[in-house]
Amino acid sequence: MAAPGNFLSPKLLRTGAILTILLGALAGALFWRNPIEAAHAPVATALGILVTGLLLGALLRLLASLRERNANLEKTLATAQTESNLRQAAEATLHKREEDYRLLFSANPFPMWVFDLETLRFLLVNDAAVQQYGYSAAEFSNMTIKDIRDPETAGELLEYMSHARPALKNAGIWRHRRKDGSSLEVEVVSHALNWRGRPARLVLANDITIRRQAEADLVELTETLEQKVAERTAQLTAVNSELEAFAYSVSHDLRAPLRSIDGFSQALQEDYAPRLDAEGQRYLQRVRAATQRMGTLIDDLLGLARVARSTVQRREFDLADLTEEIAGELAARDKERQCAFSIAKPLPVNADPGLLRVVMQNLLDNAWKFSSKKPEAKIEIGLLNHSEDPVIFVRDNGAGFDMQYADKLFGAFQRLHSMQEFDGTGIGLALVQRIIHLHGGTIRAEAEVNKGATFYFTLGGVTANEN
Amino acid sequence: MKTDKPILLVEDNEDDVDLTLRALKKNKISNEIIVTRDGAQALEYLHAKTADGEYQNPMPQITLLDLKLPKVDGLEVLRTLRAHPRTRLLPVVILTSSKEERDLVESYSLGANSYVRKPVSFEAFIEAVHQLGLYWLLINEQPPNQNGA
Repeated sequence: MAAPGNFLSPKLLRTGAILTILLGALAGALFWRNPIEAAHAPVATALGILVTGLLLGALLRLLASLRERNANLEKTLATAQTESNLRQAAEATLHKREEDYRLLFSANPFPMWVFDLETLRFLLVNDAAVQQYGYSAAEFSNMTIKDIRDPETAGELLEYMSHARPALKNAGIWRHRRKDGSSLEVEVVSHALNWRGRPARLVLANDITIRRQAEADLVELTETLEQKVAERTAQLTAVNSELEAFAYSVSHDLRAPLRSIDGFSQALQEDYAPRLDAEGQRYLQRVRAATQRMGTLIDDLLGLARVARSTVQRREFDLADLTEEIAGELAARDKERQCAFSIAKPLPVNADPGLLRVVMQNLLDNAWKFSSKKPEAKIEIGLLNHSEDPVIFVRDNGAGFDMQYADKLFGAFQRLHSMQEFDGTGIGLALVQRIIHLHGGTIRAEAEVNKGATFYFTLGGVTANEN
Repeated sequence: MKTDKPILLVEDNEDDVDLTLRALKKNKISNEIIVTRDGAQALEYLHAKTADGEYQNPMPQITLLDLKLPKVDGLEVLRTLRAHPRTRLLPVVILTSSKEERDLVESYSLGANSYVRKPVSFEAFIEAVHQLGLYWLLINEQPPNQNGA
């Protein structure tokens, strides 16, 4: 509350003083006009001024006091108003928060409920629970958590509930039952709380039926896949062993009749020569030539089959050594021939030496064969090193072939030359390609008729998958 | 040729028997040729004893054994021969159509002395038989105590 002095401002006091003097003088003058008391005029004037001053002071003080009380009243009123506003705002906020929290529970997308820890009755359920389980909120309120339990696991539940739980608990995976009898698998998280004075738990149940189904599907798929792989493997193994049996049988049985044909043809030629004219002799010769060719074909085919079944045993070695050896054998086979071999050295490779011998044997045999009609035959073996995977080439200046037929080159029994021109079974390049592929490499040829052919191949590097 | 001990040929194919005999004859191999048509017959010839406990038949100088045989196949014959005291050291030459690796490996593992693949060309076969006769009948010295007649 403000001090009274505050209302007696200097201006007011000054005004009061002047007013007092004027009023006092007026009063004194009135008295002074009275002849009886004229002698007392100055006293009366002073007294008048004093009394008037006192009266005026008291009046002013009363006025100030009234004004102050009024101000205080107004202030109190304003404060009360403010407090009321604040309280209203706080209540609104609180209400809003409650609404928010209630929403967090009721509108939570996960089924949630609160149950009484002693009676196991549902105390509160949210919309998701109602939707998921098919019971209305009212129905829930007359049920216990045992009622949504799969009957088979009810015992487990009681056992589970008999133990003390930590406040926040991942209660694991349970099988629940909907109102319609269908079941679902849920992952349950719970938290202890006090609900209106009773020990209770808040439960959140996450339906994992779909996830579990996906997991089960995955397991089933894996099993099916494994079973299929096993079946395919068994089939492949069966086919493989059949193929092996076939090759074995061919090896033994197909050649035996050829021996008979050739053997008895020769016996005829020898023992019955006088009874055969020249043409008869020639026919027999042709029978024998065909027989022997068939023998070679069978052997080549068996070689191809053998390579198909073989595994690649890689090691580092110099292909130039092997190539020189084969070239030496070729030169020794036909000493009359003029053929210049040019072999780049070294030719480091990482490959199966046994299989590479078959490759080089065939490529060099071909180069040798197809350059046989050239007076100055040249066979060159070298390395193109400008790629990551080194390319080895075998080049001759022989008969070559028309690139139009290049796609037929590596097919089994495919020949680009007549037997009269050059002999052969048509297996060699198929075999070569098979071996190169086994190594994870590639092979191609470039040629021109009567100018020669070049075969380029790679060996799949060290990282190639070996099988 | 120097020995007159018989040669045992184990071969079921009539043509192969005739051609082998012809090849032997052409190479002037005059030894008696005993022909058995399956593995069982071959084992019977080699291991059969008389009532007195003597072996019925003379020990051959060499046995030419085919692999694909009815009843008891060549590898089985070889296994039995090697397990028997009389034929443990008997020279056995595998004479067959195949040069499949498993046949080769098995034959040598079981104690074959040679492995010859019959070529399709009869001329080549005659040459092979010539080499065989030369080696096994003339050059090679027989293991001792092989005269259990």
